[in-house]
Amino acid sequence: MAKALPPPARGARRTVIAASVEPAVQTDVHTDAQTQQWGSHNPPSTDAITQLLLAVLTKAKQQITTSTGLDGPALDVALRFQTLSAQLATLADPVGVRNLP
Amino acid sequence: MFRHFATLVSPDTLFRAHPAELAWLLEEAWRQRFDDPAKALGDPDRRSPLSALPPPSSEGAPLPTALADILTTVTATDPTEVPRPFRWDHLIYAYMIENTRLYEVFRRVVHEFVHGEKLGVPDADSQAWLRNTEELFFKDGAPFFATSLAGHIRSDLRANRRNPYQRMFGMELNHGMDDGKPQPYVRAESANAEFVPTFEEFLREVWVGMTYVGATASSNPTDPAKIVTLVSKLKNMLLSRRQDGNLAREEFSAVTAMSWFHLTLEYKNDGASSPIINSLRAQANGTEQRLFKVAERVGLPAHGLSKHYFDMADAISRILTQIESNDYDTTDKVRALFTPDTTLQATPEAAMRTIITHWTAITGRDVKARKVAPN
Repeated sequence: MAKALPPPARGARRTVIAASVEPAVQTDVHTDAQTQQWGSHNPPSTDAITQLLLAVLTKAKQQITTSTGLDGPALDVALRFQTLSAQLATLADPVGVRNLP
Repeated sequence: MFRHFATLVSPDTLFRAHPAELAWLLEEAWRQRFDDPAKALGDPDRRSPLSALPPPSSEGAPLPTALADILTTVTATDPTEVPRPFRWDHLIYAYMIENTRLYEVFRRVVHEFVHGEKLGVPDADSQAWLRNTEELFFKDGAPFFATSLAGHIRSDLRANRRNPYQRMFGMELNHGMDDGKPQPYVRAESANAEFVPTFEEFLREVWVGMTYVGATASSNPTDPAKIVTLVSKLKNMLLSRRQDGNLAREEFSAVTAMSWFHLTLEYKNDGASSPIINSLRAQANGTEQRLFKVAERVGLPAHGLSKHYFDMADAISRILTQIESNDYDTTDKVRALFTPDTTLQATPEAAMRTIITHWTAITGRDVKARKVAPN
């Protein structure tokens, strides 16, 4: 049978769990400057900003280079390797180095 | 070389040819080797300054049409036949193949067939194979040919290959003589003793590159500059042994011999087999399994890890050839060693993966493991 946690030592300071307090409802308050920037009508809603941020992040992710193909000098060297493999071609390996099974 | 010839003509044509024709074929391949005068002697495109035996007549070498066709080619734009340039494998290919012990195993095969009928009576094709094998690889060879190395100065054919292995790679073969005693041979003072640790460090760094090549959400410890340095060290030590084209004949002779036995076992994987394999009733699926069966017939065990040696030999030969060509001299270029590319049929990355896997298996040293830094 699993043992229960030992009781706190006598005199130990008990942790008082603070009563949870509901955060005050955040009202959509705009400063005068923001109102001036967005115009007096139709300030962007939270949903619109979220959508905008998502679009920006998606675009940024697409632009991160995750390509694993070869280009430039590395591609030139790989092509030379392919030529070398063809020059040393064998029956079991007619084009180049066999890939791992 | 013979495995390359077998892509141009049926292996059976090679096995049935006269040994003098095969010797001439090799001599012509030596004559038609890549020889770019702009490159330094010893470079993969200019291996040797030594000339081939002059052809016996203006007609060229005495070769039947089937074999003579190997020596010519046509370009995509011009149908006129021109001499085909030849390149042979790196010496490391011979080292890897010989480590399977196939030379010793086939020595026993020839020995048994020429001395009795313990293994049965060879059929006509097997007799041709046995004659070719004995003439080309268990005799001193005709004088003046590029592949004829044995003589009064260096009389043992096996020792003649161990010497360049030790000089180029600082490595010994993993087996001695048939009775278990070490094979005596002359060890050179100038040898690349640092080859193995440098090569393993190179493999380790390339593996790090492979592991992190697609990483976007972590730090990338790949160190292309270190790979360039290690490649440069390997290139310098290998080319130092090849100074002015040195060791080219020894390499040509070794890779030629090993490719003959390799082809014998490799041919074919589609159910049929080479004549001597049929005569020995050693049919099996896979090159190494056929070797094991032949070894069993003659009572001399082959190396248990032969598959790894066979599978790695081509890849390591090509990578070392490229290293000697100074192809990986910048950080941009070494990316090709660890970056996959699905558009190419053969890539350095696939070759490196093959080498790393099989090198780990045969040495027992895991090059994929991280190095532990001392405190």
